[in-house]
Amino acid sequence: MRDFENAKEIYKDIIDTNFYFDSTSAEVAKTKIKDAIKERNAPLIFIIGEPGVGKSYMLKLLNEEIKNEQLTVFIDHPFFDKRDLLKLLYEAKGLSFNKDVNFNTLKEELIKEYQNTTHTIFIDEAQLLNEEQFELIRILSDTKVLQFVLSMHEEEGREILQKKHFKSRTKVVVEYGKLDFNEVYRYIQSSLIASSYSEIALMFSKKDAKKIAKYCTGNFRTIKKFMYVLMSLLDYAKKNGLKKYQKINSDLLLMSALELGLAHE
Amino acid sequence: MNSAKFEELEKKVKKIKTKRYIKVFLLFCLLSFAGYFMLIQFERTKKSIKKVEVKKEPKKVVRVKKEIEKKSVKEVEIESKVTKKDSNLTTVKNIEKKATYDTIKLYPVITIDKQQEKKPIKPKNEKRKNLFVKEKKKIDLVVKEVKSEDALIERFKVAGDYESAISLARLYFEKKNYNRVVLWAKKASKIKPKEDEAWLLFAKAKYAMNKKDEAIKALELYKEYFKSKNIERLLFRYRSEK
Repeated sequence: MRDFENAKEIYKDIIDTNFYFDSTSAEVAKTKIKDAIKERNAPLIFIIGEPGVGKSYMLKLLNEEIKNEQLTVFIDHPFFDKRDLLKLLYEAKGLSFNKDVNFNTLKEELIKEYQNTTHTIFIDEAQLLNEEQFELIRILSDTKVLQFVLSMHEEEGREILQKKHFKSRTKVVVEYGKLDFNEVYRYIQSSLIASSYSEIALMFSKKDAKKIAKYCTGNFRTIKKFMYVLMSLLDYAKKNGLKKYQKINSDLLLMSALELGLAHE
Repeated sequence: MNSAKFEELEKKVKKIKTKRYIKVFLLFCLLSFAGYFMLIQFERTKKSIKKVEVKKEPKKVVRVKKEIEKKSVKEVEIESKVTKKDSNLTTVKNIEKKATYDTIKLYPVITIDKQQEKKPIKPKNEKRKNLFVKEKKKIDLVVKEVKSEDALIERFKVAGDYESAISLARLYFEKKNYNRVVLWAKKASKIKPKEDEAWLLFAKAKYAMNKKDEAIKALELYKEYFKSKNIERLLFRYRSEK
């Protein structure tokens, strides 16, 4: 029994670290970042890539994997004042944060507390940080006490890397790429089979995956959205007895693309 | 997903598909037409090349009138290129030869004085004997026109070369068809802007058509970019006449 209604839930735009898709980009990024964290040879690690390729997912996954071994702080909305970052770091260490104390004093105390322990700070959407916040990150990373993993959009990320704060600093830069059509096919198969929808997985051919990859330009997030719409259409066709649309065909794929604005009249 | 949304998407897909089919059909028609047109053009070009090749073979007959003191004038046909004619003429005595030329259409009657020859090819002994013989040899070259106007135009269409264009300009100048001179001189000057002959013919034609200002203007324009004594001389003449 093909349960499209429930199958579409797999593709909701939420980060589920229980299902990891080992694309080439993801594997390379994961290995590089893990090595850099383990060896602590670079206080700054950057993940750059286009929006929706899976940077945030990778950051969350790494945080989940290493948080049992060391202290980690995960910041997914970097709209903080420079004091807010210190506050977060104080709280992560279980220290009380006195907002009336001078900023430099707070910083020095924090560095003392963090000395001789391993810890990593993950900051998602780091391209939204301002100059002052970047400068604070640079100062803290220069102490070699704190290690930062920053994920940024490709275009802005490259510009930020050229800024004085980071240009001459020791850093690891990981570029996150798109999925090719083989990986899209593998993703569709593995995501459906992992959730026990193997009957639906068998409906997809490599040719279909190629078309999906083309519509979505290999963007992970867009592929998920595409699959969600496609499952909805299949579900509607099944419930209304539309035989033509009960299997994957070019019309159905085009309808999904139109719904998402990936194709136009 | 509701039925309205589904139907809307279905309609959109149908529209896109129809558009695609029309595009493919139009592209097919366009390609077929282009292919057919190219084939016709190819056939035409093939034919015109063949015509030009056929017209190339019968070349020019050069008649040489050789006047030797106290001797009768004899017509001699020479088979050689124009550049070699001086040296050949001295050795040719009553020998008939055929000439072949590719492009040049008209040649004036050329009188060559024997004294002007630099190196006459003659055996030394013979030369010594002739030292005391004062003889004046006059050779007149009469080059006949062998190519028709049409052949040159056809050739220009195929090759689009300077030689054809300038030859046509020369031909029309001889015929005093000045409008055509202007046309072909322009074409020639486009191919080789540096060559002054096209500009000279253009200016002369304009001058003959009583468009003196245009003639002077053209010569001045050439003078701005290139140096040519002929152009300067003509410009000086036209200015003074004006």
